Amino acid sequence: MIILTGWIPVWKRNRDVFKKLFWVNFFLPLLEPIFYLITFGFGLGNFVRDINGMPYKKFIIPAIVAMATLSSSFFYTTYSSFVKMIFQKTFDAIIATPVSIEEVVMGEIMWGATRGIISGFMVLIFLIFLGLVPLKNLFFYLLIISILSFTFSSLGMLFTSIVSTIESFNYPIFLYYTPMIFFSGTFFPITNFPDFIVYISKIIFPLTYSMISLRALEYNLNLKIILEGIYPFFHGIIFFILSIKLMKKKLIK
Amino acid sequence: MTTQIIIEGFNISKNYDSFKALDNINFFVKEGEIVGFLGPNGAGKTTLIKLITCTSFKTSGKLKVFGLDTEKDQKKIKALIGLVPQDNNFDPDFTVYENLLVFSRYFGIKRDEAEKRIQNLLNFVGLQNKRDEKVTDLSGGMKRKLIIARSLINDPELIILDEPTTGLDPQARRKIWEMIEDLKKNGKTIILTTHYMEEAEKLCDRIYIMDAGKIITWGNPKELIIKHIGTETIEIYNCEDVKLNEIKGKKIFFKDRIYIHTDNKKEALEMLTDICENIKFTVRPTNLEDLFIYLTGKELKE
Repeated sequence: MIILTGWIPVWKRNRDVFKKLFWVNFFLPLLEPIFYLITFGFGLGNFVRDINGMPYKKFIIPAIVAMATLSSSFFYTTYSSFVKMIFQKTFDAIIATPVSIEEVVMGEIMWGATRGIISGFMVLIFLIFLGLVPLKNLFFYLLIISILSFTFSSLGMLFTSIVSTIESFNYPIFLYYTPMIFFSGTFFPITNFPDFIVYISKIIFPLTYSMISLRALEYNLNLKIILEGIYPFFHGIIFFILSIKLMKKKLIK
Repeated sequence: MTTQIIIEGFNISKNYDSFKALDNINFFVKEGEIVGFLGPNGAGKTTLIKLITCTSFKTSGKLKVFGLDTEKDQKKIKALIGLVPQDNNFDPDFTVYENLLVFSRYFGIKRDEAEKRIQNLLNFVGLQNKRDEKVTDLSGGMKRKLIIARSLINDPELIILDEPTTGLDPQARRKIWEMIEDLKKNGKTIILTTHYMEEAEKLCDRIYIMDAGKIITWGNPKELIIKHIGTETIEIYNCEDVKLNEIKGKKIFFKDRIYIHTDNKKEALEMLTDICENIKFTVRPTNLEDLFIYLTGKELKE
């Protein structure tokens, strides 16, 4: 029973909190991609040879954008949503109004996605300004940022619907999120590994598609790149539906 | 004048796995009355409220709120109810005003209208000077007042207060009681749960006494006392040598005390002083706590 606009007041609530806590919650974490750029791009990058004809500092650009996007959306629907649900009982307060639990969860995921898009966009503008991303690629980057934001916001919520204590987030984070950050073709090309490893990585970590797609964009935009870029969105839809179902089961007894 | 029935519950049960939180209960609430659900922790009061507010669903039975089905018409029902939950579940990041504004959106109230209502509600609960303070800086009593203001943002027909005064000092408690009485004067229907018998006796037109998921008895508080045990209570502190059987009235042995409930205080006292010399006792009106102990053999408060 999802009314398509019922989640908007929940989204607005989160936006209002965000505006209040902009500096601590949002601006400071944006320094992280700059550290990545300095360390891997300008520091380590000088010692690494070109990868498939691409300088290393260009090679890691998609990873830096993805990192900012993912952490902003994923850590919102995990820790922030969990704290609101269990400690602040904000969800209990909202579901006593005409807003349904499905709409609460939707509002959370949509806000997590919005956050990811804002973070990714800000990093992207910075990289365009430095000349590391050509302006013509802005829109395709934005498409990938939006898809990643939605997918990982939904995935975070899925984990939140499963864990019972805040400590147990360590399971999905260290067994899934962290390996994904390193093994999705982010900092080194996995295409040099045997095919079956690439294949497995693509199945487990949808981020792999986004990396391949964004890198191929350096040469030219074609249908294959677009399809690979969109592919993680389907993961997102599955995570989205599952997380709503499991959250309802968890909160309405 | 016929008063309308606002809530009707028939044979309602609610199981959590094998635990019976509500066991085949029947109740009703009429328009404009204050109905209390009284019982110790775990009696099923909060579960019942969850069923009425459509945030949990019954295992069996029939429940109509405003004549609507709690499983089909959740949004319509919830739009007509204001809930004061047990926990002060505010948004800690927001001010008093922002908390109310954010909440008004959940009911689809337009901004202009919300502004007006918030001003009126802050005046009603006496928080007009705290409008821009962070909710985390408010005292316990003020927090409770704000939660009451929040529950009224949608101008509800029915207000449900789940332990509205638990943990408050006597002065703050009295203030909340005044507000509840004002709301009744304004024609609102009110349900409250409490484990303070004084609160139930003072405020409620009717009470349901609950224990372990069952309704033990219900009615007007004063009538219930008269019907079950009598209006006067003699509470005896030292009592080894008291020949109680000779005294008329209902005698309860509970912990280290003996309670004699009677309608004829004079006669009982005369006999008591006859049979025992060094007796220590007080005489007082019977209250709902006495009734609860009489009916269940347990105390209301833990």
